[in-house]
Amino acid sequence: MRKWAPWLALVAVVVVALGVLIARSEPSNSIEARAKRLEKELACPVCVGESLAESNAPEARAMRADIRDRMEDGQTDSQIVAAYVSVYGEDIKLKPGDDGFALVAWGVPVVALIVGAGLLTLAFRRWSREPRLAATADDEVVVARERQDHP
Amino acid sequence: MTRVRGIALAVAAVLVGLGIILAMNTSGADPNVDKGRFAGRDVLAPEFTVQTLDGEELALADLAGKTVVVNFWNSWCVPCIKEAPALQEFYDRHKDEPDFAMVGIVRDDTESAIRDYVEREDVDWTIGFDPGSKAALAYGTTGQPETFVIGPDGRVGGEQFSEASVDDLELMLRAARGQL
Repeated sequence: MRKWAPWLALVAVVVVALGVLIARSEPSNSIEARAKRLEKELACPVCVGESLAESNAPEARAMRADIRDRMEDGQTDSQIVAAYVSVYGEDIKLKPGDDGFALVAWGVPVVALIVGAGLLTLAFRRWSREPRLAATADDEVVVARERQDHP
Repeated sequence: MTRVRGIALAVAAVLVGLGIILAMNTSGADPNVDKGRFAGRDVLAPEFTVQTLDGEELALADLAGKTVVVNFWNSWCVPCIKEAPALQEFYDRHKDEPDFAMVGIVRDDTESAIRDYVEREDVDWTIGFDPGSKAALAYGTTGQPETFVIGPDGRVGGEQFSEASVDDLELMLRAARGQL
């Protein structure tokens, strides 16, 4: 039993650590947490490349308050996003959707990764098959001379 | 060599495919042209409730059946100031029509600045404050002046995201009334 004690302690520590990690990574569904998430996913409509969370423009401040009001009224995150998309268009979303043309935005990096990995694999294979650099006759002469001079 | 050529062809095919998809999504569209937020959409104009200078609440629903000109503005906005004479002329032309209403909604300004401006410039159409910018957000405004003309059917018949002339306003009014 004493032999296994350290291992049991280690397992206990790992299990507790994993439990804490999982519990902390569980997304909170409080209005504040949901609003913070949405603020990072929506663009400030009058800024260049800034999210609602980052911007201090009056429009962004109004939208942040509006998001909370809508949540308090019982709207879901997707309903809120849809409401903004209906007036500001798809550009209001910083994260592409998961349908139609937006799939290209998700798919291109994956395809590029697969194609790139495939090309690298082929290149490495090809390089490994090619003969290594061989010494020429001149090289042999130089080596022989050096050996003779410095035995 | 054949394999390399095959890979190159596959990559080229992917790029051509992406190019076609992008072209289909962008061809014919000038990114500099603001196509409007409501044009061609079968939706009712967003509801709004503003607080008038008299302290009363005015909702779009109160004006149902009328042609409603909604102008988002601020007293400090230079294009809004430039636009004001056109709005005044347009309003004077139509204010006696029983099915016409015009509302200036303040986007981002102080009450005292608005009251000073309205008194100084003799603005006599309804001016409303927009608590929480709810109306501005519902109409997707990104600046000022922005003008929307809502027809008697409750749909946005005309919208302009810059300084409007009297002709622009008349055109939007006719469009909203289905007279084009």
